[in-house]
Amino acid sequence: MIIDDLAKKTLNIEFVHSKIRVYSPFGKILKEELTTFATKDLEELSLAYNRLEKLVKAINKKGHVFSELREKFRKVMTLDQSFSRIESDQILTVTEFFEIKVFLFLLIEIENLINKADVKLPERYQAERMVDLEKLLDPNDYQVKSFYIYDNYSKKLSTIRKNLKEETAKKDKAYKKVIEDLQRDYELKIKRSGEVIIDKNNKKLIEKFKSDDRVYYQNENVMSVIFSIKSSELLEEYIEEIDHLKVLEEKEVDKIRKDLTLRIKDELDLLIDNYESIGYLDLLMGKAYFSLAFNGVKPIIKEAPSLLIEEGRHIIVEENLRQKKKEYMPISIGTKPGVTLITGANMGGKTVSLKMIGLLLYIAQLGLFVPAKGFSFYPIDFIRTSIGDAQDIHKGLSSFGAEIEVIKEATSLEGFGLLLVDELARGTNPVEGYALSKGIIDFFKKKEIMTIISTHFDGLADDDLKHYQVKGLKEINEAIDVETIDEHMDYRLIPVQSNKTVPKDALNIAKLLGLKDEILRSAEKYLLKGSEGSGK
Amino acid sequence: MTLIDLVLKDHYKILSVVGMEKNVGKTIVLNELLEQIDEKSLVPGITSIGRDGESKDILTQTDKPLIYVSKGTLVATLEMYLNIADIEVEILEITNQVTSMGRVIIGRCLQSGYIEIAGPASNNGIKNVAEKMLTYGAELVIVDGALSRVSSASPGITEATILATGAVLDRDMKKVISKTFHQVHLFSLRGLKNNEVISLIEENILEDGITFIEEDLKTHHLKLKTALNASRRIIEEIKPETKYIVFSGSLTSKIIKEIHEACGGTDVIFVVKDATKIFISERELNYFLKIGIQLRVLDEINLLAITINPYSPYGYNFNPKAFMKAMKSYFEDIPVFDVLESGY
Repeated sequence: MIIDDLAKKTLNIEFVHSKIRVYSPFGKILKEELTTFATKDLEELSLAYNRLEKLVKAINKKGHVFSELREKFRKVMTLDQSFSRIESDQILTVTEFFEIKVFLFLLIEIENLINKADVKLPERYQAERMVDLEKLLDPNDYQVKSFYIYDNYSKKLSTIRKNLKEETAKKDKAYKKVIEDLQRDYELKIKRSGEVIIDKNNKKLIEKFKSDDRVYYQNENVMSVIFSIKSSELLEEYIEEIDHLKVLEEKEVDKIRKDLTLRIKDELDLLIDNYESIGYLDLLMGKAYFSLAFNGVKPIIKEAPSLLIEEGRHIIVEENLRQKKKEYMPISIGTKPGVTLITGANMGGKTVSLKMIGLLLYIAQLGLFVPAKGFSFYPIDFIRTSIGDAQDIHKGLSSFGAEIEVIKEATSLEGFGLLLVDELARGTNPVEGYALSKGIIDFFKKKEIMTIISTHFDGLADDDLKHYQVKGLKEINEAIDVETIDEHMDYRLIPVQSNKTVPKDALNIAKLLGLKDEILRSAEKYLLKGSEGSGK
Repeated sequence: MTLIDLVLKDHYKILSVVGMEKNVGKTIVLNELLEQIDEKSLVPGITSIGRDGESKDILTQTDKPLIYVSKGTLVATLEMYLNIADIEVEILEITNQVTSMGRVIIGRCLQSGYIEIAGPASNNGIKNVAEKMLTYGAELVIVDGALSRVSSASPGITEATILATGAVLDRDMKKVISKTFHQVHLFSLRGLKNNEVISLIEENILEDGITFIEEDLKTHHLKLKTALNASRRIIEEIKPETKYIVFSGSLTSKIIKEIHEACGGTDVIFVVKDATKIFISERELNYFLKIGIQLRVLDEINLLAITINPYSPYGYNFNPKAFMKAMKSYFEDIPVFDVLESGY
């Protein structure tokens, strides 16, 4: 579906995307790329609904399993870089092995949870544990989430480390003995670093140290003389051997890292598959939770172009109202290619209803369940909008200019689409506005596009058009204010059969809102005189 | 009594070491502590307050010392330091702490040897990795702390603090002692006692700026990117009802003075994160306290001991005994250790 920036903004598409929550790194990438299904992919869309239905049912049954799954998804670390490093034969670092190991452990938990969730999904959504790689990165079967290059990766390494340990122990022992001997002989404490600081006044001790060949004179300052433990030949030997072993250890570790990387490379495809499966499931769950959160209904795909919304809800308006502890009044409307008119009272919610139609169609075509009681439709190729506020900034034109621009572009569009126009030709004088509207309607009623127009103009409706009217104000007599008018308004759209005129609710509302009687009386007089063509 | 005995006596689990300046022997203290922990057969954990900002800055300015760790020691340090370390380290966790130089990783040293330590730069980060090291089995965590404007993390988040000072501060021993005395004085600043206000501040404190809290706990914020004209802008925001002015960053005597002059007689309470964020001379501090200016900290610093280094790399030294004697006479209640003396 093609939806331009203006329509995206007008319909608040971003809100929908923001409410689809994903947690895994690949899930986030998929969400970034999330788009609507194209009209030619009818079958895929239908499959997507079925999958989602299965998942929604499963979540309803075993919600806690899915919350746990999400917690696991949150823990999945980004591995893309390591994957491409493996692919290009670079050697992984110990931290990268650790990350892969943590991922492998997560896979076990995720697989278990998916089994518990008891939902049959296509392979693409099934992550599976990788026993061979687990063994590779947990060779001792410790089942602990930590990693280093383990001794048993190679005989050579374990021998080197064994020798290293022995040599170090020997060195430490020899060094410790020197320290202990010195400490015993001189009754002072010597630090691990082997430095001894002696006060210059203690000449006797200094002399003793000078003649002791276990230490050497290192340094002195005004106050003291510093001696250090001399490296004996034996110590030197140990140290040399240790250094040599360290070099060998590092070489062997590098070799093992290379080897491990190659062995992971053998299973890289499967590893990436699993990493991506988690992302696919994550996104699908995001869609399912969206549908649950907004009480969505599974859309029915029609054979032929049409749209039927039963008790649809504009979720943003609904949320805002809920915060004010008010209820949203669901709207029903059906339409098909050609022109549908919506007429009705000022403040009757026509704009919100138009936006709702666009938003719900978008949600459906994104593969989500729709916030409505019933929703059947045929996927469309594009959405265009000319609705109030957002369009004024469109290319810096006046609202009339912007409207004409949208309509002009829409006239050349091919395929099945949705065109939403709020208050057609409102920016111009009533006589010309009426005429222009007639012309536009005549053009679009022959097109494949579903054009929905809200208007104040009388006489636009004819028998070729579908016509809905806002039910309007309930019977009231007391004065009301703008803040609470919604409590007295019935926003529902009622199909109009005959060629009825637009209701004159404006004066009534103005009166209820407390406009001066004098003005209203005068207005009524003009109304009675009956102006031909009518206007706002 | 040795340093470690002092720590164990009060069952502290997280300890910080901060230096008054470079070359006061903080690294010697850290290594000594690790050695003493080793002698007690305890498992130490170690991390260091990293620095915010450009990695280039950190690379050139860093004085992150090499620390000698024994086998089994837990470390929280940067991934890059693990990769270049002299010793093998078992990776236990890649934390979500990320600095400009990379991720902070918790590991267990499989051999004894030298390693560079640089941990998270924020209070929460340090707290987080220190607590994690405890859960991984560390019995005492040491935080290599900082006492500077550069660092946003503060020693106040640890249970106890060791202050390292030394001859490098001044050629004049008296001045070294008075500078140290002043720092200790600041460390002794009292914490806020009103829990409601504390939690309010913890929820609301801005990264760069000032929070004003009124008697009835109404708050408003002032964003301050620069210190330029700061006091004038702060003064404009002070209402008669303002009770607390909370500074997320540093507090200087200039600001206190100007606010006091402009709104003299008001009993607002100045609040900072902890004493390391206050930059006021001893003379001014005494004056402010005398005229009744109220300074409070969020995190009180529990000073456990002071270490002294009688040697300065600038070629002059103090007589260690005389230095120790003078320090002890000024700090009667706080144990003082000479870092170069054996077996403190």
